[in-house]
Amino acid sequence: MCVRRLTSHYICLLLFWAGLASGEQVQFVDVSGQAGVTVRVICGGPEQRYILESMSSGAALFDYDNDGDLDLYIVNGWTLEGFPPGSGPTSRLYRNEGSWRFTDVTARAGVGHTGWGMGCCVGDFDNDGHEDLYVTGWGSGVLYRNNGDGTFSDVTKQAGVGNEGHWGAGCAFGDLDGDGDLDLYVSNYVLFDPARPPNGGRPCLYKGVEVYCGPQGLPGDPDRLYRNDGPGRDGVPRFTDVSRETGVDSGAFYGLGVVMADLDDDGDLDIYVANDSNPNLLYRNEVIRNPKSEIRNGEWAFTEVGAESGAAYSGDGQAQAGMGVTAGDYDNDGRLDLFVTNYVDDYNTLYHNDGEGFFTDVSHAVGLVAPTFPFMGWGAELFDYDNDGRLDLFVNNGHLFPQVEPAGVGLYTQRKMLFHNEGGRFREVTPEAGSALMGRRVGRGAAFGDIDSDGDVDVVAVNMNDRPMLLRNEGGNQNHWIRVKLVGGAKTVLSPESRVLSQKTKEHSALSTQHSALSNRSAIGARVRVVAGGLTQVGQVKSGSGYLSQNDLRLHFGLGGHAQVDAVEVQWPSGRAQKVRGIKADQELVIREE
Amino acid sequence: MRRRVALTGVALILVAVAAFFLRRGPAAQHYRSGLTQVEQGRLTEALAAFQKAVEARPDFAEAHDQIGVVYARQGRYEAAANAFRRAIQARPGFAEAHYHLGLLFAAQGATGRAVSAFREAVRADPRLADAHNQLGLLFARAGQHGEALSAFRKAVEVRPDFAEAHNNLGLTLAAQLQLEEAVRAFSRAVEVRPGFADAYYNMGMAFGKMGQAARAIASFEKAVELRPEFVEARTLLGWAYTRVGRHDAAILALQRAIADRPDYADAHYHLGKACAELGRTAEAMEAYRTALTLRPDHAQAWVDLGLACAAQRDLAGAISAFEKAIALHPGSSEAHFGLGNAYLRSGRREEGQREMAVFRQLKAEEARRERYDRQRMR
Repeated sequence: MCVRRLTSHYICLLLFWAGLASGEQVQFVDVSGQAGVTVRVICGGPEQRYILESMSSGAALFDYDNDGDLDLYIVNGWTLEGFPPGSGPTSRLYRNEGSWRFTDVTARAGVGHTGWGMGCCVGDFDNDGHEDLYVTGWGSGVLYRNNGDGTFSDVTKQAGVGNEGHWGAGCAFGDLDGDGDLDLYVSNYVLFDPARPPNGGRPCLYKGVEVYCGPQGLPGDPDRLYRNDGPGRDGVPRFTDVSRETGVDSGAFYGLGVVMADLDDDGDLDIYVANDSNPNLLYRNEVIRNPKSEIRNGEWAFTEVGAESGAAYSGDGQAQAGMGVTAGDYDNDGRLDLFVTNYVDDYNTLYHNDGEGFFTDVSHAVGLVAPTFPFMGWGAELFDYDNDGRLDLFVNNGHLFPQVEPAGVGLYTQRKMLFHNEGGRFREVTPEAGSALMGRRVGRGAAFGDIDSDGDVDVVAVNMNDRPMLLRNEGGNQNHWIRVKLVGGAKTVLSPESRVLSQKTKEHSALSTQHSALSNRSAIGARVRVVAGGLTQVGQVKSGSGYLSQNDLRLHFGLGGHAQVDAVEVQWPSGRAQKVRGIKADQELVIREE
Repeated sequence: MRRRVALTGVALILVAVAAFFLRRGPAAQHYRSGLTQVEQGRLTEALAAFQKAVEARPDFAEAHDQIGVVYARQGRYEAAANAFRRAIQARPGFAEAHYHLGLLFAAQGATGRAVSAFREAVRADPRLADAHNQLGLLFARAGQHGEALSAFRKAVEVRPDFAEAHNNLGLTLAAQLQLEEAVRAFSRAVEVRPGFADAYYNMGMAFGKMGQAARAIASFEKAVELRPEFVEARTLLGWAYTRVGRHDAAILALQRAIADRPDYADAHYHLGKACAELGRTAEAMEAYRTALTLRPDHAQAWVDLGLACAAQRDLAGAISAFEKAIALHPGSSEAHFGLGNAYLRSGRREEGQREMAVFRQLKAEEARRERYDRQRMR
C-alpha cells in the first residue's frame, strides 16, 4: 500500500511493528519441523567415495509469488547408485504461508529439478517483475523463468545457459554492461567422471586416513560468463557465452562460491570467485569504466586482479581452499569487504576493502583466525542479526570426509558459528545463541532473509544428507531496523516487433548516455546508503552469495537505537541516484527507480 | 663316535683351563684394573693398566681396543686409531674394534672410512646392533635414505629394544614423508624406553606434519613432562596449541620457553605468531623483533614482521622487512607476495608487478613440489 509521496519518488511503506523479545541474547531456533520443511538434502552415500558426493548444495530465499514474503528453494542432489524412476530426490520450492508454515509447491511450480543439483541464484532476467531462478549442477544447469502465475518454465535451451558438460557450482546474476538486463556468471568446479576417478580409483591419504582423491589431481572446470542479449521472438532472453572473449575461462580453477559486487567503487559490478585449493579470482569490470568502451562493438573486458588487489591469497601469500564468499561492509567505512570460507586447519578470511582496488587480509586483526581454524566453512554471510548497525557473521560448517571422525583426526559433523561484530573485532557467540547452532551437522549452503517479516534476519542452513534447518531469529528485532526493497525501472517490451527492435538497439542505448537505460527490475547491483544519526551503512543488492546460495534481494539494515532514518540514498546500476529523507524505522521501504 | 665325543671333551677342558689362566694371568689382571679405572673416570691410570696388559700379552685384542677407547676420550685420535688397528690385527674378526674405529672416523668426519669400518663390524658380528645404527646415521646424513632405512631396520631387528635405533628409523621415515610409519617407529621407541623425551618430540613433529595437531600436542606435552627444560619441545607445543586455537595455552608455553632460554629465537618467533593470530599486532611485532635481534638470519621472522607492518599500514617497514627476508631466502613466495603488495600500495607499480610475477613463478614451483610430495606420500 502506497501511503505517501516524497520528492517525486513513490514509496510504499509496509509497516511492521517490531516484536519485542524478552531475551537479552538473540537466539536462533530450528523450526524446520513445524514449518514443514522436511526435505532430506541428498548428496551421495554414507561412505563418500567420490568428490562429487561431498560438495552438496545451497538454497534460495526469494519471493517467487510476489506476495511480500520470502519463499524457500532447496537444491537437492543425487547418488551414484541412482534411484528407481520417479523416486529420486528433487529440489524443492516451499511457499511461505506465514507464521512459519510452508507448503511444498514444487510440482505445481514446475521447479522439481532432478539430478546432481548444486547451487542457485535469483534474478529477474527478463525484467517482467517476477524473480527467475537458475540452478547449477553436475552435468548441466537449469534456467527457470517465472511465469508470474505461480509456475515456472524451463527455458534453459532457448536462453542458451545450459552449461552442459560442466560441473556448475556457484552462480550470480548481474548487469555487467549496464544495459538494464541481467547477465549470468557460473563458476564451475572440476571435470569429474566417476568412471575415471583420479589416482586410478585408489584412495588418497588425509591425515593418514584413506579418503577419496580430489580436487587435486583433477582438471579444473573453466567458469562461464553469459551475456544477456535481450529477448528473442518468444520473449525469452537469449544469452551469449562470452567466457572466451572475456578470459574467464582461461584459468581452469576449482570454482565454487561467486559474488558480484562493486569492489572498486567505480559504479559497475566486479566478479569475485572463491576457488578451492587455488587463489581466488577478482575480475575487475572494465566494460563500463573503460572510456573507450567496447560495448559499442559488443566486446567485454575484464581484468583479473586478484593477486595484485590482495584478495586472491591469504595475507601471507597462501592459496586457501575457498568454498563460500560474500561481500558486505563490516566496518561501515562505505566500502564492500569480502569474506571467504575455507578448509579445515585454515582460517576463514576477511579481506578489508582499503579502497583504490586494494584488499588486506584482516582475519587476524578482527579475531577470526583462531576460532575458525578447526572448522571447514561453507555457507556464510555478513548480516546484522541483532540490528545494532554492524554486520555480524554466520558460518555453516562441516567436513568433507566421514572417515576422519572414526579415525580420530577430525570432526565430520561440525557446529555452525555465529560471530558478533563488536566494532573492529568479531566475538563468537554460538554457544549463547541456542542449541540449534551447536548441533553438529555436515553443513553446506546457507541463505539469509527475514522469513517471518518480524524485523530480524533468519537463516536457512543446508545440511548434507540431512534436513535443512530453518533458524528463526528470536530477539534480533529489539533494535530498530529498516528493510529496503528496490525495484528497477527496466521492463519487458511487450510486442514481438519491439523486442526485436530493442535487441538491435540496446547495445547503443547504454552508451548514448549513462542514464538512458533503466536498471534491472531486481535492482541487482544497486547500492544503498542508509544514514541514521551518526550511523551510516551501505549495502548492495546481490544475486548469489555464500556457498551456492541466494539471500533475500531486499536489503536489511539494523539501526540500533535510531527510530528514524535520516536518509536512504540509492545508486542504481543505471547510474541514476535517488534519495529519500526522514523515514520511520521498523518498516519495509520500497523504492522504485524513476 | 665315542672318540669324537672324547676329543671334544678334552678341547673344552683345555679352553676352560686357558680361560682360567687368562683371567687370572697378569695381562688379564691389568685389563680388569683398567676397566675399573675407566669406570671411575681415571683415564690416565686406566691407560697405564691397559698398556701393561698389552706389554704382558701383545696380542691382547680387547686391551688394545680399550687403549683406543681411552685415547679417543682424551682426544688423541691418531693414537686411538692405531690402537684399534692393533686390536684388529690381533683379532681380525673383532667386531667391537671395527665399530670403535668407525666411531672414531665418523667423529673426524671421515665418512667413507667410517662406513667401511662399520661394515666390517657388522660383517664380523651381524648382531652388533650399534654398528647397524651407526651405519644408518651415516647413510641418513649422506641423504642415502634407502640404505639408512635398511640399516636402522636391521638394528631394531637384532635388538628390538634398541630405542635410539627406533627413533632414528622414525626420523629417516619422516624425512621421506612416510609419516605414519615414522610415528609407529617413534611409538616403538617410547614403548621400549618410556622416558625417551626426544622420541616424543620427534613424534610430535611427525604428527604436526600430518596435520594432526591434537596428537602433536599430546606428544610435545609428554616430552616436556619428561624433560621440563626441553625448550624446543615447549616451543613447538606452543606452536601446536595455536594450530588448534588454544592461543592462551600457546602463549603460556612460549613464555615459559622464553623464561627457560631467553635467547631462543624460535620461541620469540612463535610467540609473535600466536599474538598475531589473536590480532595483538603490536605484541607480535615486538616478539618478531626480539627473535630477529637474536637471529638476524631468521627469514620467516622477517616475513612475518613484514606482514605485521603491512597490517599496520606501515608500508615502508613492510618493504624493508620483506626485502631482508628475500635477501636471506630468495625462494620465499610469501616474501615476494608481501613485497609485491607493499610496492603496489606504495604506488611503485612496476616493482610490484615484477614481484608478483616472481611470486606466481614460485607458487607454480611449490605446486609442482606439492604434487610430487603427495605422490610420495601415497
